[in-house]
Order: sequence, then C-alpha cells, then structure tokens
Amino acid sequence: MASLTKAINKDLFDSILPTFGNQRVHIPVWDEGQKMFLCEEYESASGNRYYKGVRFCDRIVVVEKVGLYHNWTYIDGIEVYAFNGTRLELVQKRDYDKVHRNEEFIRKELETMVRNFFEGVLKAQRSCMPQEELEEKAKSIIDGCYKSFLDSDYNTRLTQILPQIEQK
Amino acid sequence: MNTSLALIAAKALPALSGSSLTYNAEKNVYLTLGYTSAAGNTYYRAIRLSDRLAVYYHIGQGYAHTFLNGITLFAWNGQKANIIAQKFWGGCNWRCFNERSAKEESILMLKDFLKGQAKAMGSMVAESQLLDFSRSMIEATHQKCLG
Repeated sequence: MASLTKAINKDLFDSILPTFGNQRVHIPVWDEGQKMFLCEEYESASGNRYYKGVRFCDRIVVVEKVGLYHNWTYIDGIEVYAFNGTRLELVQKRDYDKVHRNEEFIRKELETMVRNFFEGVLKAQRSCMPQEELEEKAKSIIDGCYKSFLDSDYNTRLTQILPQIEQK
Repeated sequence: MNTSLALIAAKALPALSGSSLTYNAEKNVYLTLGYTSAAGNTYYRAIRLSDRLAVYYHIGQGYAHTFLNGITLFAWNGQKANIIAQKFWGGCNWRCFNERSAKEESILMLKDFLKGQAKAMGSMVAESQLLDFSRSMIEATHQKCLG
C-alpha cells in the first residue's frame, strides 16, 4: 500500500515538476512567498520576463503586472476588479514607469485604490462615510486578499476566477 | 559549460544563452554578468540547474557584506522555463547571503509550490513527503554533474 501511494505521488510530482522537455500540467501556480497566483508568464526576445500576479478575496480581485529585467523586478501596473455576478469589472487601475516592486508599496497602493473606489461610489450616490471607516474597510479587504491558498479554510471556489483573468 | 546544460539554458532561458555566464567551480554555480551601481554595489544572479528546476539567487555585493536580495525558482514546461516561486528581501528586511540558509529557503519555497499544486489538483500529500521531495530536488541542483 505504501509503495502504491508513493507511485501515485511520483506521477503527481512528475506532472507538476516535469523533467526538461516534458509539458507541465496546466495548474495555476500559487506563490506562497508573494501570496498570489502567477499567470500568463512570458519571456521577450530580449530576455525580459513578464507575468501577472493575481490575488483575491470574496469582494475584489487584484492583478499585478510584474516585469523582470536583468537583476530588477518592476511593478508595471496594478488593476482592481469588483464582482458583478460572476463577471469581473475593472474599478481601479494604475500604471507605473520604472518603479521597483516592493511588497509594502503595493499593499499601500492597493489600500488607497480600494479607498478611492469606495469614495467615488459614495460621491456618485451623494453619500458619505467617515474617512477612518473607509480606510479601515479598504485595509480589511486588502488583508483578505493576502490570505494563503495553503490555509485549510481558503475558499477554493474563488480560484474559478483565474481563467477569466487569463482571458483579459 | 557542459553541452546538455548549455542546450537547456539556450532553449529555456534565452537571456542566459549568450556569453554572459561564468561558472564558479568552487561553488558549483553559474554567475550572470554583474551590474555595478553608482554607489559601488554589484548585483548579479547565481544560478543552479537540474533536469527539473532552475534556482536563481539574486545577490548584492556591498562594501562589506554580500546580500541575498531574492530567490526565484523556475520549473520546466516543455522547453521553456516558468517561474513557480519568488521571494525578495530588502529594506529593513535585508539578509546577508548564507549558502546554507539560502538552500533551506529554496527547499521551503519548493515545498509550498508543490503543496499548492497538490491542493489545486485535489490531492493530499503528506507534509513530510513534500519536504523530502523538495529537498531531493534542490539537492539535485547542487550536484556537480548537472551544474
């Protein structure tokens, strides 16, 4: 029985970490270090590498556009999507030029972007909310996006969003 | 560089297929061409390869210390390389380079990648087995015949 388990796991490992020349199974890559899924990676002819980092909670989806040039990692853009039924709607977007990727910077940017989104909606509705409350709400939503996929209580149903992101 | 490794680097990592790689036999590692900043710090990547993985250490060489600025793990997908895990340190979270701790960090990063993949596929794999497999995969990148 032990050897059967081992054999099954060997097949599993071979599919997700194949030897050079063999295709890897198409499963979204969760990067625990950056707390996001890595999607749509490609390498340009000049050797620069680009990918999208995706993280989400039950309220929003965040997409980071990351570029790797030589020794540096840059943040090229951040997009925030809100849900409309099962569809995603872009609600905030920021582009950056030659800005080094820094986790703390991105988290702060996201909190600001979500807060701006709330403020815009409230203003359009001629409503308002105390600034502190807005900031707290935005922070708690962003904190939720940094939950680990490896946690046992992670809502895995949310990963169904990934194909939609890959089509964008 | 040995022929099979050169082939892998040229096909999967085109940015590394030029003449900018040097092999450090003592450390059994490939080093990219360094970049020296105006402040006099030099930045380069130290790369180890196996038939399943490429491990990049992003290194910064300062006046008195060598820093580990990040680690990137690549898996092969056909003849291309895909990032499967990345971690960066810097600012107040800086860390000096240490071969042993960088290796241990790589093992943990690989274990988390495997755990995520197994979870996404609905498979349950014991933590100890994930760790054993990760360790053996990272060890393989340190073996001289492949590096």
